[in-house]
Amino acid sequence: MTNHDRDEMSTHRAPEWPEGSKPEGRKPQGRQPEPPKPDVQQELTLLSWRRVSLGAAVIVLVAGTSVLVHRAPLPTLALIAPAALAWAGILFVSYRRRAALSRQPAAAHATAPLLLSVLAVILALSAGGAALVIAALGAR
Amino acid sequence: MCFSQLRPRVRFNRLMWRLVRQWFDPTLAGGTTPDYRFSLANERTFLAWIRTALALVGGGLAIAAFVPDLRVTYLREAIAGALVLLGAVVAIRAVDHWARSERAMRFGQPLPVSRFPAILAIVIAVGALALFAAIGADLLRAA
Repeated sequence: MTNHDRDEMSTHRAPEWPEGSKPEGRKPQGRQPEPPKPDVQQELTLLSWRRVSLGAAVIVLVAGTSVLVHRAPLPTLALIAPAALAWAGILFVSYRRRAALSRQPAAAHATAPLLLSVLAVILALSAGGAALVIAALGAR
Repeated sequence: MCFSQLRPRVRFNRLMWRLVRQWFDPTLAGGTTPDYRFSLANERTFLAWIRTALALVGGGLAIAAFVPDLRVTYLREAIAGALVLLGAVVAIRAVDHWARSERAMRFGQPLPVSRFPAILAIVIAVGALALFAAIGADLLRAA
């Protein structure tokens, strides 16, 4: 990476050369990696959202299975319910964000990241609480 | 309570409110819209942190569900609870870092530096060592 590239990166702007002003004398040394195309960036982001949905699904599955296997009492089910709702919320937020990204790569973020974080916290506390109750019941 | 005591609290509340609003929408801070490829990269970093949070929660669940009873009372529950809480903290920290990075990009400033990855690594390593020691002690006693 040349100093010029570093300068471009530091301002977080895509390198742009005005028409006819691109310097001709500067030859690239060795094989320079091409910047990723926008559609690749979009695909990677879509994939990341899908991974998050999958991760949340795994957690709800593990928590639900432990509740069923240990035949946990009703209060534990009440703890699992917010986790299931949070999971549904994560799926919904992820779906909306993926739809927005598919329509327009530069779609605004709006509230998706904050909503996702809040839902992840609800999922963590709810599923974690249920797991701790199950562990405490199993220890008796 | 006199006004001079109240004022710092009001200022703090306003600061917190502004922070939360920026969590909702970093464009509120102003600045210019950065190249969207950088924004997407920032969003992917945020999602990677969320996956880390979910993995921590999953780890806590797995410890609570599958690790057998340890001789140290409530050690298993303590480790599981700590992992789940850590997952919640990581999720909140993820959105804060995302908003601060987005803001820095909008104003052309250097990206925010954080000690959080190092702290997280140390906490996870200490937790893993504690669990390893507890399981090892259990096995030795059983043998």
